[in-house]
Amino acid sequence: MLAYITKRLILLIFVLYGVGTIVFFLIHMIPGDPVDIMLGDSAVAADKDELRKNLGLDKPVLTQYVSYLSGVVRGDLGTSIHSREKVLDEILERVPASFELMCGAMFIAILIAFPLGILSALKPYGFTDTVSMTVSFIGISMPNFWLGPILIIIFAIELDWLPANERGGFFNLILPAITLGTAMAAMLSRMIRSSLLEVLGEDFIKNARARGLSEKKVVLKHAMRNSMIPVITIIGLQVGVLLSGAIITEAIFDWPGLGSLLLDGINERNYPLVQGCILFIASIYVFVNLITDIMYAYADPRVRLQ
Amino acid sequence: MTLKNVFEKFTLSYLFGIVLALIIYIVDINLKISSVVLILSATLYSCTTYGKFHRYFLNKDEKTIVLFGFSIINLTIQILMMLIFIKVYPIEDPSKVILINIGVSVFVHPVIIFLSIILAEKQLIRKGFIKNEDIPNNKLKKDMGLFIVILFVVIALLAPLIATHDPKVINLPESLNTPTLDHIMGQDQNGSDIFSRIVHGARISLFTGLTVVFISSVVGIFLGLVSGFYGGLIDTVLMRIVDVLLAFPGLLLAIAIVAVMGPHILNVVIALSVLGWVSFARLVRGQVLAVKEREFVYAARTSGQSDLRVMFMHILPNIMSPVIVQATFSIAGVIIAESSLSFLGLGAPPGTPSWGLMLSEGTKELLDAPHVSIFPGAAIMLLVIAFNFIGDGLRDLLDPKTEKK
Repeated sequence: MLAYITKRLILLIFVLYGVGTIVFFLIHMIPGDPVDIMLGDSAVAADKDELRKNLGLDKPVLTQYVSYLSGVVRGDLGTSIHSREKVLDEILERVPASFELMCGAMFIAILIAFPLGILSALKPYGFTDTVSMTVSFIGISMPNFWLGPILIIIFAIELDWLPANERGGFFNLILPAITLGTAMAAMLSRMIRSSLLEVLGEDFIKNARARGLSEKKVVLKHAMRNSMIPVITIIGLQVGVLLSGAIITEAIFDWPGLGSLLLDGINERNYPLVQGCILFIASIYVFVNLITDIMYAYADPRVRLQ
Repeated sequence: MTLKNVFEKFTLSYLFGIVLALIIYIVDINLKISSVVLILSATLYSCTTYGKFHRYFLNKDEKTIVLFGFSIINLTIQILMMLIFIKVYPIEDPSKVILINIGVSVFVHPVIIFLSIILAEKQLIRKGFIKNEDIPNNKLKKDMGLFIVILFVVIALLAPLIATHDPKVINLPESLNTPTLDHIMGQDQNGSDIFSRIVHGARISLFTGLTVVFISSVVGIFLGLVSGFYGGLIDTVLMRIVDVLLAFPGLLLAIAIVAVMGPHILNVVIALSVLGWVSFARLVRGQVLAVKEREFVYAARTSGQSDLRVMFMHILPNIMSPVIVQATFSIAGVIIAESSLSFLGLGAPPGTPSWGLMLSEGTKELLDAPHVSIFPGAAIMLLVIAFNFIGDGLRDLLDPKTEKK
């Protein structure tokens, strides 16, 4: 296990280095002079020079690259152009809102997916199965930037049950969380269904039934535990989908999270902020993947040997 | 059920509808009578479709079971659709009945046929006539998907002919008008005709979807083949690059690339291709590793064929099926991605009839005019579902293992 974790950590460092490199070169992909684009054509020459100096764009690319990476390692993601605040501070300020939204979405997804998946697996091709699998197929195909507006039309405008703007109490979280969580719920319920179906056909389940255990115990204790391994992976992988889906959901609901910070940065052409956000989100994703893999290896020792 | 059969059914249904409408037009009966005739005819039609599916699944038995039970459901759907139609599009003049009839055919019959298939299947399984694995469900699914996709491709190719108005015409006094007979999906915030914009938007979605998947599959297949075939340093380097690109969740890297390059549909294609090849390369590499130790590859190599020939003529044809399935799902993914980028204002430039952009402009008017955002969203979803259907169907057809499960 230790060897596996070490191997994964080495890979992690490599991946983070690659991510940093890509993010660094983003600013050099801007067609034309990045400073002109950031400040606009009407800016004063002195301002431009100052910004160029602050961003280090007057130095050779290699020097910039080294100083950017060393800054990132020390937790210095640069300075935001307009507000002149530290990029990292601006990002950390938005993390709680994003975290809240993600937890809400995850909660909704699990709340929907587990009952649906289990019920479908218990009576495959029955009525519940047909309905829930059709619903989940639609859920996978429905883009969340369409689901969000429709939820707003139905629950916020027509019925006026739930608020649909900005962050606030518990009720403000419901609609964004459903918007973000539906796709994950759809994916997860299909996964739980197929995984549970597979396990229910195994010999140890027959054995458990033969021993006279109640069906409830057979399913919930014996089958569920063994079918959870692929489900853990899907949950881990879906965190990435949540992270990027959150950008759109936050845009729909004016949610003050990382996603809207990134979009604001793009609209203001505040490239240090954009770089910082992308680096931050990608790093979170990499770490979540690492934790998922380790949990997976812990649950299924065969993985470690591969 | 081949595609030809589905096609025949649709053509028949259209012809049927048009003939009926012509009769109504000539006889000039009043609206109520004509809608009753419409409903009856459509129900009759859906009953026969349903019966045909029954017989098709039974294959041996000519008698159709429980046809009536479910034709009641069909009837209800038909009546509901008709009521919505009449409510939304008030008719002043009977010649418009033709249009309505075609409209009913277009919207109702795909739904009815699809429901008939599902219901007929389920009913027959429940009655024990057939086992679940006997149903060529996935092939049917694939054909349904293919039909919708072909429909969209035709719409995209013939967009200027199908569009009822110029999609770029701005008509501010009529902005946010609800659907009328002239503007069958209403007008958006600029007063442009939504239907025409959706018809033209099909070009953008299909163009992006197909181009990105073409570029990324060509690049991905080539790099995956080389990486899996030669192994060693090339493999290590390529797979580490893949690892790094996979570290960006979902759309994030595409958002970043488009953000620096500026909103343009070609930039979207570039950004999505940069991400797209990764999954193809990984898939192909894995498949190559599994295939390259097989006898036919050894035989080809010992007969002195060049590496390139072995890779492309011997290995590639044997690993194509999962690649095709992946490509189909990718098209659906790219269409959603393009719409998402446009929705965020990073895809198509303002004024372009891109579905994502229309949707995002529509969400600003949610309070006053929900129809502005509902129609483009429905178009995206329909096309995505169609590609997912094809992918699902193809996967099960090409990989018999999963079908038996």
